[in-house]
Amino acid sequence: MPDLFDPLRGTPDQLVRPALPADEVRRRGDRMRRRRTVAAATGAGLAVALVVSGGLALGRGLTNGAGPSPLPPATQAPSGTPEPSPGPEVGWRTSIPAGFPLADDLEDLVSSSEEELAGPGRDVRVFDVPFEACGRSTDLGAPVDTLAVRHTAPEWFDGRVLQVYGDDAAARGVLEELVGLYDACPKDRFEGPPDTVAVSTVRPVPHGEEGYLVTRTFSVDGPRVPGLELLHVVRTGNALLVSNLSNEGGATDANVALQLGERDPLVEDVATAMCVFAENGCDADGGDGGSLAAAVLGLDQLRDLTRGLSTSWTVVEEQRPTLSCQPVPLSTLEPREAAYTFFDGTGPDGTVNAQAAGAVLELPDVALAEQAFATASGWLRDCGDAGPGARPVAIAHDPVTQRTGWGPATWRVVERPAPEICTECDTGWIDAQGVVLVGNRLALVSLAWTGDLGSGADAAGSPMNDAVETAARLAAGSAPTSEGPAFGPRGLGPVHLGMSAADVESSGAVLEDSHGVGCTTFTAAPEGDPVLGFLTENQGVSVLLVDAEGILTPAGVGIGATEERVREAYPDAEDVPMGLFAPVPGFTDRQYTFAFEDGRLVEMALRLDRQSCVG
Amino acid sequence: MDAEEFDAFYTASFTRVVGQVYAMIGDRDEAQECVQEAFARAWSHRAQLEKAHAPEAWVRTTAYRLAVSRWRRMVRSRRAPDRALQDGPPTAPPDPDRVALVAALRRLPEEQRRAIVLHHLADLPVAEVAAETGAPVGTVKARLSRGRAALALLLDEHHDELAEGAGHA
Repeated sequence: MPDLFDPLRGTPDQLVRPALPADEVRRRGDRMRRRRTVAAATGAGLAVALVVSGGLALGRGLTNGAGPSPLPPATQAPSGTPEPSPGPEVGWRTSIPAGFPLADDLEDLVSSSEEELAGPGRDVRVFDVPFEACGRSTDLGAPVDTLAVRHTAPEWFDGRVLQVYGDDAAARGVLEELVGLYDACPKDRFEGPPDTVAVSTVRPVPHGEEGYLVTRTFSVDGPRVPGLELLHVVRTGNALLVSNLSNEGGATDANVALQLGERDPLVEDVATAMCVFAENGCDADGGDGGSLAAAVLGLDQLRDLTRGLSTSWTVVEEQRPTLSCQPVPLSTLEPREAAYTFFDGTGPDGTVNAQAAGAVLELPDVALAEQAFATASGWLRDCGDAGPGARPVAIAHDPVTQRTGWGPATWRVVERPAPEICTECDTGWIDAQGVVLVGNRLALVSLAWTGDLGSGADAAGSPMNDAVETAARLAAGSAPTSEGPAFGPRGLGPVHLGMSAADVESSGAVLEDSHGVGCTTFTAAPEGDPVLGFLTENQGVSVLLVDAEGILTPAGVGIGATEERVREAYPDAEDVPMGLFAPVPGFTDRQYTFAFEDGRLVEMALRLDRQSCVG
Repeated sequence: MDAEEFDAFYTASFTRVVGQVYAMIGDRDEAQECVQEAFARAWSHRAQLEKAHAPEAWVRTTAYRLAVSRWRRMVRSRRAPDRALQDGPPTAPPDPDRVALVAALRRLPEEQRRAIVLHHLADLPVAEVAAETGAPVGTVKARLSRGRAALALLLDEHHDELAEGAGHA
């Protein structure tokens, strides 16, 4: 036998081409490492967290939203190319606007010998090969306009196509064919050797008017092998986005979750921009705010807050400043979405004796929300006569800072004369207004009622104490943050410090390999966003690490927060290399650690004392 | 593992591992590309590699898994050829005996082929073959036994064909 195999014993002439130089191999490996996942950047030099081999692969996770319409029934007839639409109907946009953000995330990418970026452009070819499953195939039909981008690298394919059809029915037809293809083929067998199985799962995703995700993984003779396809199909109006990411991941469920955590927000951003193809276009500023409508002050909450007032509240359509102290419109804070409500209160005599307003602004990220909060708080502190038409201020009480259960708040009461009521009395408007920061949202609330000037001095008894709490709770209710305590003091959702490996697995987490001194790592997604954890046999879960936005500590600190904000929330924090270390309030056996880059929080950990898994 | 150690490991192992993976999958081009990729991953995951009992086995297993990935074939069909691999001067055509051996191996069942290659070409003891393939030692022994018998038969057929051919020439 040894003689028999001598011809295969690795002589250079066996090589098809010369091997790459070793330094080139290392360079490619370094690029893989950088490309692998986000949190590898947090590891260098940080004394309080340790990058596990392969990087802290945490992504942003999915937003938790209701799914769109049920999956279209799988088509039974042989698939074929949908007929081109007969022609555009009046009202459907038939061209893709210049500058459409199909690939903003790839803006800085430069083609090299290893990576190629083609597009975005109308002549970029992406899906030349029809989509196939279980012997059937389909393609993307005949659009009236198209925009595509293709990014390729070794073991990496990222292709995105935005296609516009004559009408929404044509777009829907293509979506149903494509999604139905995979829905009807959960397992696609390829006879060996080796026997390969492609497993496809299809589920709705909350993007666009209807959206689906097809996830394909592969197994060879049983075990999963490297190979992952994430296919997003999203329709809004007469436009269809097809996004395909294929790479060497997918060998574990944890890896699939991590990759989806990175990919889904990119798709969501593109899907959001597709609103230009909706029948009614994108919402204008100050509209009903779509998904934020439930997050803003409503009539029921207002009545609860003002039970002592002799007034009857009604919703009004009049658009007016939410805060009488704001000198400029709230749109100057540049929210990506906003919702507003306005109310008038009518007294027993039929005259308006109270007014109220609520607003929720959603900013693109926590950092921008913090800036907006600081700006709005400044308006309150500087409140004088404010904007045009505002009543003069007769009495300005001190601003109040308050920590709600979801984030910090600033509120203030100013009192203004009400000559329209009487000129010889001390009746005026008691004007209370506040702003509260909840993750990447800003909630604003104002209550104004007629009363004796000077009666607004009692800060402790002011309805604003409850009003900002209510505004915060509403804003948090449908926000990516969880209501009430989130990250800490005990853990995150069902995963707690001290929990055993068995309990961690029961919670749905995926245990990975051992690392370091008897430490087992695991990945959990208790609140939708992945969390990396460490546990040992002795301590159980000893460390939880978060680097995804939207998860807050009880003090309202989340990824993206400034160092100043973190220090404000945790005044007992101590400096450590590249971060802060703070005892968890109310506990003596655990602490938070916060890691910063460029002054912003990029990672936070909740850890037990005397744990040995991280530095 | 520092750069110098990795370079030495790469230089010493690359061709050998290509030969082993080629024997397992029967495609020279694919074998070389997968092994090249596996070494890049090895550097990317060098922390894991340092802990691995046998770094060469780590690379070989990675290359083999890449090679058998059906997904990989689909992705390759969608993109331009990998330009990271250099196109050097063409190497010599393969040895006919080598081709025959690989062809015979390809006719074995996957598990037998892999076990044969790891034990007889990579010179791994049975226990290490078991560790690398994730199979019990007894199963590996059975695969080796059956694989050897089948290979001998296949190679005898090949030699008989050659003899007939010579006779007819």
